[in-house]
Amino acid sequence: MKKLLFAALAALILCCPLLALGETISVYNWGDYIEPEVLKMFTAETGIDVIYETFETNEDMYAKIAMGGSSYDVIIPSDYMIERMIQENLLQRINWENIPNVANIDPRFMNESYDPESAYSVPYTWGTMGILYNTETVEEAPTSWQTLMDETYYMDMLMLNSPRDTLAIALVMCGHDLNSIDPADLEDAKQLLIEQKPMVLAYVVDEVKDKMIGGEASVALVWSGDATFCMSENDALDYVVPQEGSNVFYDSICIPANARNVSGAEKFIDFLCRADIAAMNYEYVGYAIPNTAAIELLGEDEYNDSPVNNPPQDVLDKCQVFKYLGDDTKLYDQVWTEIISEF
Amino acid sequence: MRKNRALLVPFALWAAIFIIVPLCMIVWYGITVEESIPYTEITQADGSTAFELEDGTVVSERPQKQTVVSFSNFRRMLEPTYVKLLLRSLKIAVITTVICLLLGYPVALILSGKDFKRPALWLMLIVLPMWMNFLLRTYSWMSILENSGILNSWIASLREAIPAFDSWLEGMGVGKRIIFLYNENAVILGMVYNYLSFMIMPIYTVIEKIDRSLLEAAADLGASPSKSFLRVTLPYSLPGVMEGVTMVFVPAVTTFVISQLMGGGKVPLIGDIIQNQFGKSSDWHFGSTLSLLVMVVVLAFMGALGRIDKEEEPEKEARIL
Repeated sequence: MKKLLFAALAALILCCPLLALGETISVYNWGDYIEPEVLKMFTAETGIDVIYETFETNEDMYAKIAMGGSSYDVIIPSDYMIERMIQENLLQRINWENIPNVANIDPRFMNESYDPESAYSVPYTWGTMGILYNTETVEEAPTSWQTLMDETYYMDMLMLNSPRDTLAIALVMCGHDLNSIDPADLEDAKQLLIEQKPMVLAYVVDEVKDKMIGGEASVALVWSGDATFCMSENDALDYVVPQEGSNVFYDSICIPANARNVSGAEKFIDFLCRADIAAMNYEYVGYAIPNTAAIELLGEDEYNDSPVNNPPQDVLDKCQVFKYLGDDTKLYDQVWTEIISEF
Repeated sequence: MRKNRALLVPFALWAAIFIIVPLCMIVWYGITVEESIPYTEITQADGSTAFELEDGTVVSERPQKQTVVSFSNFRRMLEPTYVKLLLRSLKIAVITTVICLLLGYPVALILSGKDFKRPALWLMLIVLPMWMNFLLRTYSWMSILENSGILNSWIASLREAIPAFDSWLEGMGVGKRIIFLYNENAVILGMVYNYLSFMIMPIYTVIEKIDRSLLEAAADLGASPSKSFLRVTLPYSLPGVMEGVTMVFVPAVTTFVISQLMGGGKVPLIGDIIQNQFGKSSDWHFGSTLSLLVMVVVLAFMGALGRIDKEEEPEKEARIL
């Protein structure tokens, strides 16, 4: 028994160097968030093999990195998670000298509040939260979040089954800051959502896409990326970021503190910032990109024509990123549970 | 004997790694919380950032969270919100179990009847859907029952074809689309559909093994068929019923997928809340505390069932004698 175990162990140890022959980097990204061809091109150009893994939520990714035991060279978290990971010393500073293509990135996407000095993250995509509506059943294009309180859409609207996102919109509707941790503000938001609850058909996350494409409901609270997908599948759908402002989010490229191949990671990040590569990724992923050179390549007019890529500047000015709430996440969870358990 | 014991080693290892260790981890997470140390970020004279703790000490590293033993999550668990959710989960699980029993017992009884032809084929038909992923089956129910689903489109075309039917429905106050999904009944339907075979199989297996001569003896001694069912078949099938009830009740009380899909997030159960803790809210500690609560409830239920089972035992012996 013991001998067998030793033999297995020895075989495993002997095999490890075989796996690591040649330079590799390991990349941890959202599912469906890169054009697969880009990875092949990177390997062809640099000779560095990419070990590619995907996650479904920021929290899944965080758990894996924070628990240790795994080592990635490149990860792509969202804003509030980057803020948290910086605070917990899980990311390393980026050496900008090795990433010349950062010049392609629109400066208005740099130095955002989650990484004020742009020391740890390179913007990859960005998006907003807004209302996806079916032009066949919604007569007038919505302009305000109040659409989600409109009796016309009784049992005909979908909300996100996600405490932070849905509460943020309720906070905005009540005129509060969408990062508020004041229990009184959250109480207002809670009352509003409880009042709204009888009119809501369902609280969903991924199912929102199928349901909106199939015409299950007339209006839905969605992320812009999902909106792009739905609109490409069903022409009757349209998207708007309401005038009161909304959440704007950034998914940015970072290097974890325990990365093994930092120079490889830098090469990969630089590659992703190249105009032609960013353009390829945009066409595949469908999220708005911060890469000015890539947008020029795609044709500015066509790119800006989409309400998803190009919300009016005055609305965008009222949009805010999520801050990492630390222990106050609990408060959101508590309030959310109280809302959905109201019956 | 020694050799036999060696055969146990793989399972013991398996149990230790995949049952005992995770259980201990859940208990540990359940009785601890993450506590962050309050601090303020300050800029020192040389321009570097440092962190001042509440007692005035200044450290250069940002203070990290600490795990401390605390029972505060147990207090939180007993808040009305969570108790309400647990009670709803129990209610839905009980309703599901009762419906499964009422539907499943007659099926098992008929299938095991001595005149029944080809029971194997029928059993196959009952088990066959279980070989498909249950998510797939639940999604199918969704596409049948959705507002834009199959059932609604059938009703719509019927209404078009038969004006009398249309006006009758309108008279009943039924809207253009009937909302079947997104409520408690839809969740119960999803559960009954998914778990029914878990009720039929154990009951069938037990009834099938009942000694036929007992039934013949009952008939010989003048018992009517209903009497011999009540005095022979029913008591002997109870162990199967117990097993079926357990196999339906336990998953029904802990599920979170069916309630999310069929209930559209409007009928959250305790399982959904636990899943939230490990996902979006990323509070593994509270999630573990809630898991412990559910575990205790399920254990209590199984204990109660076990007791009923035991009480039945001596009576059974007496009957055989």
